[in-house]
Amino acid sequence: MIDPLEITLVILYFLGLIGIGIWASKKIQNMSDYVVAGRSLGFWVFTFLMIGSVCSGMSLLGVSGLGFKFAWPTIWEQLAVPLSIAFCIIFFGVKMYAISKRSGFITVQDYFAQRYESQKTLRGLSAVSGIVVSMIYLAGQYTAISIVLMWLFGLPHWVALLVGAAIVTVYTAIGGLYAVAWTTLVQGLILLIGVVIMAPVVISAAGGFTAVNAYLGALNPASVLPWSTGPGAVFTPEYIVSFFLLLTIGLACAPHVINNVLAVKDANYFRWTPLVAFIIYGVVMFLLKFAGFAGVVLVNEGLVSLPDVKNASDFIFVYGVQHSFGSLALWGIFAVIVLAAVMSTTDRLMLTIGTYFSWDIYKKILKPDASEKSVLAVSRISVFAAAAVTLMLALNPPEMLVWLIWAGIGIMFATFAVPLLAGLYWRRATREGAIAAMSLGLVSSLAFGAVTYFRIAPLPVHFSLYGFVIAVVAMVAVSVLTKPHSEEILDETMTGWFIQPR
Amino acid sequence: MTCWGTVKIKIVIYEYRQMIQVMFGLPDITILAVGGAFLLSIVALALWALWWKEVPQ
Repeated sequence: MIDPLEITLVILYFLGLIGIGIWASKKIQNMSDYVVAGRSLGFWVFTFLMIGSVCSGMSLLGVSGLGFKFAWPTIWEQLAVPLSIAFCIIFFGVKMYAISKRSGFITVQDYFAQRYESQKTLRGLSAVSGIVVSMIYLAGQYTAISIVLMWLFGLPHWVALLVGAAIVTVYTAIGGLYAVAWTTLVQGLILLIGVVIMAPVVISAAGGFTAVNAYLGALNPASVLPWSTGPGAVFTPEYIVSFFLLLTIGLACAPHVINNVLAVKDANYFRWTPLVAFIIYGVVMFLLKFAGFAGVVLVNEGLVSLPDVKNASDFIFVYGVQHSFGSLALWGIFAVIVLAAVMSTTDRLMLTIGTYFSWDIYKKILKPDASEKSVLAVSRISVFAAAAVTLMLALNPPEMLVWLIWAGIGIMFATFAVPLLAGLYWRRATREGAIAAMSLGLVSSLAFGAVTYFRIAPLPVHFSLYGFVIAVVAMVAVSVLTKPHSEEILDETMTGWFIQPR
Repeated sequence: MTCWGTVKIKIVIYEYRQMIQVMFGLPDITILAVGGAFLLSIVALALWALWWKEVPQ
């Protein structure tokens, strides 16, 4: 039986998001407004936009699910993901913002085109890669939305997917980054307050933090260690290192995260946002993981029964909350919190896909004389098209939501990290090197991802690390064999071994 | 340092370890590795903020 209060809260929440979308749509006059919110984001809107962009379906469902399955050896995720915001701002954002202010660019592809003097090839390759990896990542987000709606309203998977996608698509398409940023601020606050209140209640229902750890240790002493060893161990030290790199650098250079740094009003926000975002998001991530640990006690003691679905561990937090809050209608609010976390990334990904297609492919490659109005229209249509394609991918989700999301991040890591880092810091990096690094990084990470997914051979580290290493080798080897760019271009794009331009 | 002083320090360390283990129900290695990495991250990001040079608008 669906509680009327729950359904009212969720409907109000959806209406609120659409209301923000309508309000934001009135502020949009051109592509700069749509893509980088007219470079007008204040400190807190920007900070929460960064948190919301990395805080995905994984954060609420996948993080707890992973903690429930593998316990303490997975704790590094709680540091790596919040650190990705800092990495993005410090190593990419500071310089890219300064260059973008000078050159007026609005996407990362604009940067690539300028730095590597490749208006079509590298721009097109980067935009297509960005769209592919964003879609893989987006499929994971839709699965998370569907989990919440299935649990809350007992909807079939496909109906839940359709409802979630329709809401996000509408406000993203009409309101662009203004809508995404402001809805993310609201969603981020809901998430923060909600998790801070609800996670301790779940942990308490399992006997408290100390008791949960003692229980885990008694069940399996290896589960309270910071890494696992021995035959069949997944989170070995070498795997954790690759996992840390994957999450910290992979998320930092993800298209839907890195584009946010171009939208701030003042470069000085880059001073404190890394620390503030790390603390806020770190608290949320640790609490969620601990709630996943508590789930082990709740399930083993027969207090909670997980549904009979193949990604059952992803349901642990929602079922933990349901159990802990009993029949109180309060846990209906929780549905809004989970949706807030998931939707805050979903909308940003959809906007990224729309922008990359309309601006980088349609305007800059296919039809350079297209008017701003037609580019805006194409962008909005692309958002709807992205939603449709991704829904197809999400109809048959893999066993664990987190696997799909990591796959997306891993491919981003292997594809974008090397051309970005080399472009910003290494004056010898060339266009040919960047094309080789990006294409080989993408193809090899997809190939190694298939090796893992189809269990062709066990890999000691996350599959994306192989793609990353291949991209580094390709960048160095091809760059030293090809003609360097002119000093003028390198100076214009602030290339060199420094972070803050003086 | 006298032998007695060394023994006292060892006792204090032992007691603190016991307290932490009881408090969190976790082995030392987990507390040291995870707690250490968390604190190190905070310090590194605070140093970044202190190092930052204001950008004129």
